Amino acid sequence: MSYTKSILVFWACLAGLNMLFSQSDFEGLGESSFAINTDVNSTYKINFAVRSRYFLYQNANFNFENRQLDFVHFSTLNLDYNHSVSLGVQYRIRESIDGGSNELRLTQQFNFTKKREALRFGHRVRFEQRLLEDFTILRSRYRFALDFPLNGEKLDIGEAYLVSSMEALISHSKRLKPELDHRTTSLIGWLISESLKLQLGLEYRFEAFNLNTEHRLFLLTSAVLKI
Amino acid sequence: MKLKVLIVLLCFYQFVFGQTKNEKEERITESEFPEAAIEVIKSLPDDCKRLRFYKETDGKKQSFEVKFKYKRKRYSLEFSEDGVIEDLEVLTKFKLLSELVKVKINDYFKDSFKKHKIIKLQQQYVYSVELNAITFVNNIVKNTSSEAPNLEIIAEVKSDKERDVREFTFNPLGEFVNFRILNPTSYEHVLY
Repeated sequence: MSYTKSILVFWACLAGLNMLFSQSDFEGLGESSFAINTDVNSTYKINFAVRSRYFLYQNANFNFENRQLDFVHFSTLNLDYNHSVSLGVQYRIRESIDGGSNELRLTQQFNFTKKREALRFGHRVRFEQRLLEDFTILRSRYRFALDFPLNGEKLDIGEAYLVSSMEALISHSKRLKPELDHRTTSLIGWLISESLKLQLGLEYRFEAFNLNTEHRLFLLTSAVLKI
Repeated sequence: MKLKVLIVLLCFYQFVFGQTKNEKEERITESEFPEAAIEVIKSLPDDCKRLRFYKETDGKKQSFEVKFKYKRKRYSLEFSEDGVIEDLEVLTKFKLLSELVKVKINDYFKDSFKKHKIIKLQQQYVYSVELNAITFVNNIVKNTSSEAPNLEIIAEVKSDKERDVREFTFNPLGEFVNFRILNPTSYEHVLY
């Protein structure tokens, strides 16, 4: 391939990138979380997490701006080795950070996984009640996820793994029209030790694509500690 | 002051990285496989699909495994460190077992546990040294073996309070031989 051709291809890619980022309804955000998981016994486990979200790219400019802080708790009851139900409660602080409404969120979840050699398929259904200051949003979501270790069929200490998922969401509230969202996520993770996992990934969100689509790209970072 | 912080950080580092267990399963290439085993693998029918090589390390003990698919069945052939066959396992389904064996195994689970759920079932052909390795493998793969296999069942069982995943071995008649408890981390990983 000649030089000109490769330069042309490179330029076209850049132009595409430019187009993507020049859309005014595009935002780039980052989300970092730290989670602690504990097994109370063989059927019951609990999870606590702190999560912060911040803008990285907004109104066609790169800038750092905090948006919110979440405190999350999940209680999970394992029905058997691959079915579980969970209840979650989350408090989101926004008012003192960017002036948005604080939120109390209640979640009910059912999770089902199926393993086939190295691949694991996960189906998750969630119902959420998002209690905002002035009104409440009821949201239902379904996520299909796929995860596998990058070496062999078993995840050993020191090895990496991939997780990909797609999620569809529908929100109802008295104030707003029903809203549909779609999220695609890809993560790479490392099992650093028996108790620590680090994850890095991207999530692309089409928000309210039935009304006025907003595009959001999230840079995800997380640490998961198991004690 | 700085030194103290450094020491604390170092301790934490130790805590995070010091727990590495010497248990590992990894995919390897054919050339990393023990030479003695290669001959057996070469003798497998040509239309074997998805031939994959693995190495398992558990402390100082090493073993090798080759997995493949032949005529819609999944096989896993295990070798010792020096390439001697240990066993050949064939993935199967509980409903395909003979009625008599099914009843016996079900009775065992019902008598011993409150609840049980079968996760995986394999027929296990144990290799004995007097056999020729190549005939042993090919007889089983081509379904002309006269040997009756053991049954290896991975199941989740619940006794009064505790619940765990175990690997059970039953003899060809469906009589219980032994079990071992599987490490839960080998069965769950990422999502919560």
